[in-house]
Amino acid sequence: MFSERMAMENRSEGKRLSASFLTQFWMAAVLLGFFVIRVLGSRTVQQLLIWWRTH
Amino acid sequence: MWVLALKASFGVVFLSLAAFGAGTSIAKLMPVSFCRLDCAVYQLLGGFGILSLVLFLVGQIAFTHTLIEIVLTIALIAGVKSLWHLRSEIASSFISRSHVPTLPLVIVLLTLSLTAVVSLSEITGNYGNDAVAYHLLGPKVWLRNGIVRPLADNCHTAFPQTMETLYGALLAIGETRAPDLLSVVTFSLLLLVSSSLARRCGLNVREAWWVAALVATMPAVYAGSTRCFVDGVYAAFVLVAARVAFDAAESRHWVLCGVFGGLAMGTKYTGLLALLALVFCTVLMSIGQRRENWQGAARNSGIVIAIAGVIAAPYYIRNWIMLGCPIYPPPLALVHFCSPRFLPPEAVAAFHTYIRQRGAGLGRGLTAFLLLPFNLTYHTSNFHGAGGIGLAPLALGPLGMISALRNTLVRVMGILGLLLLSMWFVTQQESRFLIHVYVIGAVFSVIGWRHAASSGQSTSRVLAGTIVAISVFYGLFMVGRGRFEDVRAAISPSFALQKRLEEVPFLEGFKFLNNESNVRKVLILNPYVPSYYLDKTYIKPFGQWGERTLPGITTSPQALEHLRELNVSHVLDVASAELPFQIVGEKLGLTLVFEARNQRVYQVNSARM
Repeated sequence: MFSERMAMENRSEGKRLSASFLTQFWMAAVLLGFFVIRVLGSRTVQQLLIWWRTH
Repeated sequence: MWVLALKASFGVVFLSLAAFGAGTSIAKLMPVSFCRLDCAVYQLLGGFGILSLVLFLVGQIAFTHTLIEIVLTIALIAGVKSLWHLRSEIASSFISRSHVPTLPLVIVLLTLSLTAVVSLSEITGNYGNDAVAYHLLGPKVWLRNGIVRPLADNCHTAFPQTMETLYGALLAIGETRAPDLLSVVTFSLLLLVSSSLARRCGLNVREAWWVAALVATMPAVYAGSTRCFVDGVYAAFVLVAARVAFDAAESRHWVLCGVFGGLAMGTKYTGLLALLALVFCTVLMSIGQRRENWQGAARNSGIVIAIAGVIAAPYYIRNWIMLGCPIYPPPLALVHFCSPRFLPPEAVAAFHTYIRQRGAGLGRGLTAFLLLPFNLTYHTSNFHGAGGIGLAPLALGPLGMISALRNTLVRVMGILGLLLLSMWFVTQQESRFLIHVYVIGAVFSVIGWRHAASSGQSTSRVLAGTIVAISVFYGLFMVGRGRFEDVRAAISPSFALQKRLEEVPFLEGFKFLNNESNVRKVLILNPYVPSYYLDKTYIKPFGQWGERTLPGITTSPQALEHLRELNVSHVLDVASAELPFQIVGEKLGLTLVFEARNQRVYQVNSARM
């Protein structure tokens, strides 16, 4: 009985952790997308990079 | 400038009180479960629509300053009485919400203050700016002519006119800056409607304020709700109709849902599609929750559609009678069933091509649809909504949706949002047309934020907080940057003058025509001249969308042959990027009286008259 309950708790804890990991991964990916596309891809940053390469 | 600001403030307060009075007619239809503040917000919002409808109907007979003032004063008396009765309840509603969180409150107040300051600057631009091209042009001409009629030379002035009629009334009582200042009230109403929806979805007051802050700082929402754009008000009508439908238990509630659905249809043509989506969702909810059987659900839907039809009918029937088509310009489905006046078939075809091209977004295939959340977040300029909607809907919206799936209302809201999004995707992908879906996205985002914060993991909390912070502050930055020149024009008269010189096309010609006392009626030959800037009566034989306003006249030389019949005193001829001067050399019967760069004004010789 005890071992069954332990196994069930472990399974639900495992699900919770994987859901939590997925959530964090998704949020981090959206943030990363913002920095790559909107910040690094912005005209100002592009111009700065060109300036950096040419000097 | 201060005189203009005072007059505009007076006009907006006067109109808002009158709208509150007009809204008493729908106050009794509200479900008892609505809190007092929600009732007051919906009364004011619905009141704007009802008041506009009354003015529109009266305006079909006469639209004079006196008549507008009489209608507004009658409604104002009802508004003051209603406010007096509700004073203690509304005050207690506000007091009970005195524990509002400071940060979202400051953010919301910042955007509203910006809107107020910006409204003090003149709206300028060419025919590409919708406010100049038709939102303000129609009301200005209606007031001058003393009657509400679509302008034959601009088919967009035949669009449903809930907001434009209010702009006409505001121009009459509050002068030029008042229509834009109304944005402060209507944008506030959209934010209040958003937070009301959030609370209904299970969020607390603090979280509902964050929904308002997220919506207020979405640049696409801000752009569609200010500077005389009507998309924010349209979205508010749709969302209130949904909110009422989800809590409807009696026939009167369905009537109220129909009223707001009708007001949405009376604000934008897309309201027709939104109503269908809404009815579908309410049937789904009624059957799913076993609140009604199929007959009951059909009866309720019938009530909503019938009432919405009655409310919106004046705009569509007027178009049918005067322009030959209830929806004008006619959509593809109607082209074969009606023959629109003033729009030759090639103009209708060109209009559809324009809509298809402008509304293509990033494609119409299944992949483009699946990539929409990504593209709307990161590639906003492809949807004519530079600045976009922030990160929160993409990052936290799905999380909120999944975590609250057990909440029936959240599920139905999700389906409604998906339907509205799909309709938008296949029609015209213009970012500001999707404000109602962005609001639903903001509600889901805050639900997702709450879920992430309550997970007990500090990483989730930090990530979710960072996403909201970036959404809000990046949004604020984009909104501020987009309005920087308007703010500068509002506080610096010299910059305002410089902006006017740069952004008002053919300014010198307009100045001459507006100031000369012997100018009675002007013939404008170039279709791309924004006639909004002309204070005198005018005739435009050709409109920017290919309209032909004079039967049998297809070219400028033909129009010039009919000066006597047209009874014009002056002719404005300009050279624009699209079209050169139409009068070449000396023209018999015309005397050149003014010339500037790319613009000439001719006086029609009296002997010819």
